[in-house]
Amino acid sequence: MNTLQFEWKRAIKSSGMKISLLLGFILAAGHFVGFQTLYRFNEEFNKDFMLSNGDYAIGIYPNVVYESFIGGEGYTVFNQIYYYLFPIFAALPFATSFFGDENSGYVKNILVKTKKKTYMISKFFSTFASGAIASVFPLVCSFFLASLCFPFLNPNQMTYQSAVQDITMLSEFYYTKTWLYLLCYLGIDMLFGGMLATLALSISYFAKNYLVVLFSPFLIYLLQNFIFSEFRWNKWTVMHIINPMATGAHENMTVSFVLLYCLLGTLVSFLLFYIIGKRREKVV
Amino acid sequence: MKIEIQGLEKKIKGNLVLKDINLELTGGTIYGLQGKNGCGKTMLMRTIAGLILPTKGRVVINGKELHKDISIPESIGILIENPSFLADYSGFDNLKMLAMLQGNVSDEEIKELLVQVGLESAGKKKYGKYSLGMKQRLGVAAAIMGKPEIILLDEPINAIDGEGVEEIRKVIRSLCSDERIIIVACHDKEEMALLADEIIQMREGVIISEEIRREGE
Repeated sequence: MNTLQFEWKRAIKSSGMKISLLLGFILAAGHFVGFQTLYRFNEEFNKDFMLSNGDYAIGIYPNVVYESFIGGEGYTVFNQIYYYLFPIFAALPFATSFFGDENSGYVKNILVKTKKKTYMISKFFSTFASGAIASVFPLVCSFFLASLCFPFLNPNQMTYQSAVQDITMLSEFYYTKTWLYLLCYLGIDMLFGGMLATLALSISYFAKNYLVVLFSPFLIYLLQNFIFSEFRWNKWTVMHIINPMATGAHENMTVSFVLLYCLLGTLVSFLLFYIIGKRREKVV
Repeated sequence: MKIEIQGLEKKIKGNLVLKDINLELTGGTIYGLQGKNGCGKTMLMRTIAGLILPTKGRVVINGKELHKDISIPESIGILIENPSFLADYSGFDNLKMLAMLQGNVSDEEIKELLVQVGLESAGKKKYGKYSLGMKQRLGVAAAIMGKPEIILLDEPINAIDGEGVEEIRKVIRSLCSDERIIIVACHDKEEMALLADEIIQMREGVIISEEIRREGE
């Protein structure tokens, strides 16, 4: 327990965590300002439309909070930036800490006070958890900012403002319990964020440069997206699974499959990290 | 307190860096390890600390074999090669973090430790801003924190000024007791003569002599 507390404290207080949260906030704030501008433009347009179209002017459904934050809309550049940079938000807090511990020699201080197995498990868990939190912070921040301006109404299917349709994952909740839909996606994003962050741990064994370790989850994520897209396997890419608005790729996907996918990825990541590290002796 | 090293060998990338090491170390004695660079002093310390697995032979600490009965020595403090700590944390916080792993060191004890090694005024300064000598002093503090039963110090007086060397020597000597084994590796022959009760000479991975200078406490 002491080792877990030790690693967790390091993860939470790391400069990487602060940088990730700051970048996340900047992205959320940028989206807020950009979306606000777009919204006001649309509002003016809609008003003019209503005034000039008399009997043809039907009630325009307002923009709701669930469609006005980064994770709820797919037509601004901020949504795309976030889901492209998702692994970087996840990796920044603690993914390079194992590389740093080994290469600086700090690991010696730890391994004379705790078993190697305990250290590795604690490191993995802390990397996973800190990556999970940091990766969804921009979403939470963006939602909070959107809630300052937009009403908490459920989206209206008749407006066709959302990409979520009947055949997409969890669509049964989207128009009735939208908060539950987004909460599920938040959970899914956290799990995948954690998984992506832990990929860097095993890369640490082979990399000679800190930046290679930091960006390795991002590169793996992009590579998977590229290769799978070439084979039209979009629904199997992490990039599409984590985006609630990439619903075209979620056709007939189930939550249990997504969770299994994430669990498998995390297990592979853990086994690689643990098995290679168990017998490895880094002479520093 | 007793450490028995029996037939110890260590091969790294085909090179035998430790060859048939046999030693019996008892509490109450400060052992000095001497030899040229690359003779195996640090590797021997790493083996005793459990940081590396011997290719052959064994290390037995108080009747328990390392990597068999125990995975790490139950009570040990080390300063091996360059000290390394968390750059964004102060000296005090670095020791506090390591104390979290040990679980038996209070804040007052840490403050006292910093005074002992001459870092009382630098305890709140971030480790990243420490000079080489200050880093070395913090390394010694971390090694002796919690008064462990085994203390391994590799070049503890590196980069430390004359006054500081005397402080460190006093601290090391004050820790000598029947319940404790202290092993110090040092290039400085004069310092070794002042500090060590028994000097173990090494060359090319082999122990060539053991000289008792004075009876331990």
